[in-house]
Amino acid sequence: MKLLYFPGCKIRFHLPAYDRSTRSVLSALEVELVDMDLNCCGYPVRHQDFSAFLLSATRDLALAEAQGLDILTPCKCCFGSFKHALYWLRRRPALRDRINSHLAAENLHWSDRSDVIHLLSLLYHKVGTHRLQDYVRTPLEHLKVAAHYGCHALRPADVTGFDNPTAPQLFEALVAVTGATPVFWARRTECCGNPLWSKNQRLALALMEKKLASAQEAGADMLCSACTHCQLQFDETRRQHPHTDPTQGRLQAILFPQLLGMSMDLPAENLGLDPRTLTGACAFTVEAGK
Amino acid sequence: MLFDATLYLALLVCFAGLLWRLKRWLTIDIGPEAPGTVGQRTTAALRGGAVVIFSRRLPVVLTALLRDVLLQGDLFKKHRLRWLMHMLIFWGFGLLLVFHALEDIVTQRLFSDYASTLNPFFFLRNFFGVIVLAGTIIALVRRLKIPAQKKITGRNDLLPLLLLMMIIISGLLLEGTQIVSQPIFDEMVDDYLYGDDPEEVESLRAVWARDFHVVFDPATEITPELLEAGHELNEESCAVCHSRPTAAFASLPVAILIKPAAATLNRIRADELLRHLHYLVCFTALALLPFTKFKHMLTTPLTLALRAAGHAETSLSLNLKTRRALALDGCTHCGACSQVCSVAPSAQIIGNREILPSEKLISLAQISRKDLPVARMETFSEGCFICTECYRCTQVCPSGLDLQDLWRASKGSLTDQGLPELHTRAVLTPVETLLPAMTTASSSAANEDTMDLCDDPSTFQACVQCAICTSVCPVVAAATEPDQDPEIGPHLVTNLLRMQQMELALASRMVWACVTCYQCQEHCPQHIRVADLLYELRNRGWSRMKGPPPSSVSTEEVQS
Repeated sequence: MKLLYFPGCKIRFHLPAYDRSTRSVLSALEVELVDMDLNCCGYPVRHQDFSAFLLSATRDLALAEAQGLDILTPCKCCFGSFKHALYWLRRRPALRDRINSHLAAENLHWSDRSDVIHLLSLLYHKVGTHRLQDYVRTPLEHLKVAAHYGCHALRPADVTGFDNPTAPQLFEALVAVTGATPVFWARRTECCGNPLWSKNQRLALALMEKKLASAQEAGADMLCSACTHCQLQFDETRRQHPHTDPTQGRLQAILFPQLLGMSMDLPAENLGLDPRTLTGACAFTVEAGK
Repeated sequence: MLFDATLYLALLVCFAGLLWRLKRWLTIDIGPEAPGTVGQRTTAALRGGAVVIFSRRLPVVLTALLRDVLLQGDLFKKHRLRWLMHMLIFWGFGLLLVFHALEDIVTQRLFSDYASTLNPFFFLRNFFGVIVLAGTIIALVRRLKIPAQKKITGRNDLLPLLLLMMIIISGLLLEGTQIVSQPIFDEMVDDYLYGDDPEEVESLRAVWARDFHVVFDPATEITPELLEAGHELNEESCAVCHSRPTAAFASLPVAILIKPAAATLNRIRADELLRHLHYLVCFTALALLPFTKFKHMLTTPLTLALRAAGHAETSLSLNLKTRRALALDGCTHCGACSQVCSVAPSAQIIGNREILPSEKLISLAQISRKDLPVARMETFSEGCFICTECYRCTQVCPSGLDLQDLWRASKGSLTDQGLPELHTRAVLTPVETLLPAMTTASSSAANEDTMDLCDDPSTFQACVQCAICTSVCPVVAAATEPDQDPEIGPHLVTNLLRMQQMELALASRMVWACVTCYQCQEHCPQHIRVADLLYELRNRGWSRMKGPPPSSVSTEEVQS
């Protein structure tokens, strides 16, 4: 399987561990990733200018088309952004023509030949939980994991087509593959708060606080995300604002490919995991995996 | 006299300019950290420098200087043509400077029998000149032919290139007129030929007319006898300083080309005129060094060394400020950053050049020099906050500038100055204050006609005000004091739209507090695209807050 890899803007500087763990896991699963200079998916600028968002997303889709590849992204906001672009491009011919006329200057053209897939969908639908199970060496049996869905992949379902928007199960099924126990928690499909991080800090932190409390209440050992922005919120932002963390640093946030990689016995450094910064059950697992 | 006067004047201007730059590096204050006095900044910089010099990083720094400055290895990896272009100019001009311009100080001491008209010097001068010219031509063609480059090219990019070209071309023309010059021949004969036997001079003229391309007026007689005598005399008196100009492969064709007009040129002493022109252009370039991008000859090695030194000591907050100020002068405006900029498509649509890193840096340099008009500060703020911090500009910068740090610091400074992104300002502004802004004309008509969801009643007409959207909205749930937020809730926004209260909808708290989680839209029993509507209202509010477009700013204005 060969896919055009779209890490998104934030990974390179803010969350290189997600890049490393995604590449390590997919390379072990024999999924080939093609790297290419791609621009921002348009997600952040959608707040300001729909056309700027649409040109950004469509340019990447057109570049993928030119390569004859589908796009794979580990970021749910990037995934959602591409899906929104596809949704409106397919429904508004005037819009599509206008964007294509912008792309023509670079000899690019969007004609709906490439799709976009999120890392979790790839693992669940394309690799499949049964095959994935074969790669698991050390089941993470003692871990209780709260899977955090991430809004922009889940909703609106008519645009993203990710999973059942009100009762999703894909992420829990993937967590179960690693041997960990997925816990059901009330706020699993709610927002992490990150979309408003730079714009409305108070609200962004309030939403994060509620989610963390909910996961803790459900008895989770750790929170698992599969989105660059969600992870930044539950990791970097939380560490910078310890007073808003009801778990006081417990309930560490981990990225799904890191969790999966641990169960596959991939070396911690290939997963961007630093055993020194891991706490509790997570640290134990990494130590045990050595 | 004239030479000395202009040289010292140019040196003086250059030196004063460098001092001014130095002062800027130690005073310019970018970023939210405490600024520090010039004294504190100087001490911190010296200490940082000392720590690097007496640390294990020193070999790393020296290797980086060798690799990335002398060989430009970094550029070689990133872009071969640009590497070639820059190596041609860098080495060609560098060697001309050392061995030609400073011949009294360098070349004559290294080579005891040095004469500028002897080979290999005669040849090498031409060779270096030609490779500089080739490099500048590549640079000029790239600047004007590659669309992405052309877009960001202004007079500040072209002036240094043209100056370089003028230095080389005036040099070649000068050498061409010197080759054909009878007056110079006569002076040399006066000075170096013992005795002034007219027959000897006659024979020497024959040789120099035929073999050295001097043009005599009236034309000299050339016979085999004269040539034989002349050759002997030439070997005795001239050959120790003069090779035949055949190796001057660039200036000789110039000499041959101007031969028909040589008599006139010799009469008006065109060689002297060109010599003055050549000096004038060289001294102009010298004087302009601190004020044009020529300055990167000094700043880029410094910024590359700093990158290699790493962040340990150089990242003390005071040194960070100095590094940022230095980065403003380390930029060569090569445009590599803007070519890889992740948000370049947004720049294309929104039409704000300052979204692109190379242009944002120019504005930042201006802002740090003087206060810009509010409209310019707004476009700069917009550019800064549309940046997604993807880090690509920093990774490709051939000058090794930590652009990422610069953008993050700029965001901090802008926020401190009350110029955060418009969205943040809308969040912080009470509805009644925000409302007037929402009634102004918007900055771009194009922005308003993309989707038209909120102008199309069929989008929201079906709303039955059941408020399910509001009951699932996490923003409503997180409102700390609900009684103070009575107007918050998506259903209130759709109601305002139903009542054709667009301005009230645009100013409503809900629009600017929406986290885009799409719970409302997913749960709406009437299938109204609630979150998409809120997105569109934010777009519209954003463009109305921007107001009518400021008169477009040209490259020239941005760079001046």
